[in-house]
Amino acid sequence: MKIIFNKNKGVSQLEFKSLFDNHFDKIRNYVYFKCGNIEQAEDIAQEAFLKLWEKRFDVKKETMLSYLYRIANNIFINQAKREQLLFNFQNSNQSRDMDNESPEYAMELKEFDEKLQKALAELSEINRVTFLMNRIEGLKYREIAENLEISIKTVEKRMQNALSQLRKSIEFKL
Amino acid sequence: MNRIEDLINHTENLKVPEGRSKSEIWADLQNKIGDDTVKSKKRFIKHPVFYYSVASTIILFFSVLFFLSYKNTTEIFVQAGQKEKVFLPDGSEVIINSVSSLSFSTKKWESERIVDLEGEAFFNVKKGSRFTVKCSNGTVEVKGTIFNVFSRGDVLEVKCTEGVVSVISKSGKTKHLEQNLGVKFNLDNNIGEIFSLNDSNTDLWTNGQFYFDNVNIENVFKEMERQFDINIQFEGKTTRFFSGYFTNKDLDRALNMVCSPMSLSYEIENESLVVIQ
Repeated sequence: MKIIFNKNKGVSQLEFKSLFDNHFDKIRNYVYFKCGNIEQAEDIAQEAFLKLWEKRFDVKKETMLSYLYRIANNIFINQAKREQLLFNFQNSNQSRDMDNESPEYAMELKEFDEKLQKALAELSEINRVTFLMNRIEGLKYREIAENLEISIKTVEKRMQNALSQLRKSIEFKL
Repeated sequence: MNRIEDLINHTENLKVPEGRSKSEIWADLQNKIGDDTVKSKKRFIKHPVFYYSVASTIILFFSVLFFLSYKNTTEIFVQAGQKEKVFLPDGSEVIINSVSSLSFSTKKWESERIVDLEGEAFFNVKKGSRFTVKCSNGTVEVKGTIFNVFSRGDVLEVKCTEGVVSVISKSGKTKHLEQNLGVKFNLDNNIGEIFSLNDSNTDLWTNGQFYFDNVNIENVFKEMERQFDINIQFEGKTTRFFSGYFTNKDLDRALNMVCSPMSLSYEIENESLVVIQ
């Protein structure tokens, strides 16, 4: 009889580091889109990686990323204290605008921002996550479908729902 | 209407706020990975299923051994980057280091306790009749003790933590070791020098700590290759000796622990190649 301990089908330390480098932001942002709390998002993303490390011998390499999304989601569901969602997105082109534009414009922009973030918070969670993965993360529909293990049709549907929900709630606010 | 679309499109300008830096989170994660044994223990205890699964695993393991004992030899090979703890049919415990193999005849086990070893293993032998470890470059005989055997290439090194151990080199030289003594045979130096151990550090490698006392730098890197399952291309002088240690938790840290005191520089080329100059 021959017993061979070959656990190396799993993830090596170096691979794990590169997984972390490549995907940590994605997972953290994904959780942030759900909870709107950056500390919580970081903690959950970190825990998801820790779980992945513990399960490193059981996971197939090809499904690693979607597995990470799944664990992050599970951890979120388990520990989520359903608080009032309050997003704190930053504006990536704010500094540029501030220099060139008048204070009135800056004011308006701020108001703009607040309205949008409130409207986003009002979206249902699955629609919001899909919408923001596309709009902020810049992920393609196909990528979102693969990561969340859903069909592209479902992604399209969620995007449409998110858009129509947003239109309605913004119209109401304006 | 236009304004609504503008507002929606504005989403693309949003950025997730910044929290802690990524390197900080990675360092934190590293620490948690370091003590994952402690953590997983705590977590398991919550579930009663854990006890059942442990019990059934043990039963399964012994029944497999029992079943196979009617047949032939058992061979256990441990690949790079891993270590395995196994129990022999008499309940003796062996921790096998990376790139090492252990085999024994389950049929003859009742009459004579003999195992063949290539590489390194830590033994905790149950008291009883003579227990023999055969290596390519020597033989180790004990009755019931705790000891470590390292047999790779030209080197046979045995360290005794408890009890009495007899070591017979390939050329027939016998050395007796008592508690806290070690012996090292080299092919070119067949004298078998006995040395004393500092506070029974024979099994530190089983916790992932690798200590070296004046060991050829090449052998240190060989151990590192086995621990991390990598290839090391060493382009420095090979006649240097290293005293110190590394841990197998993190490759970068381990490389640093060995390279910086020797003023060597290293580069991780890809997932399996490290170049040292």
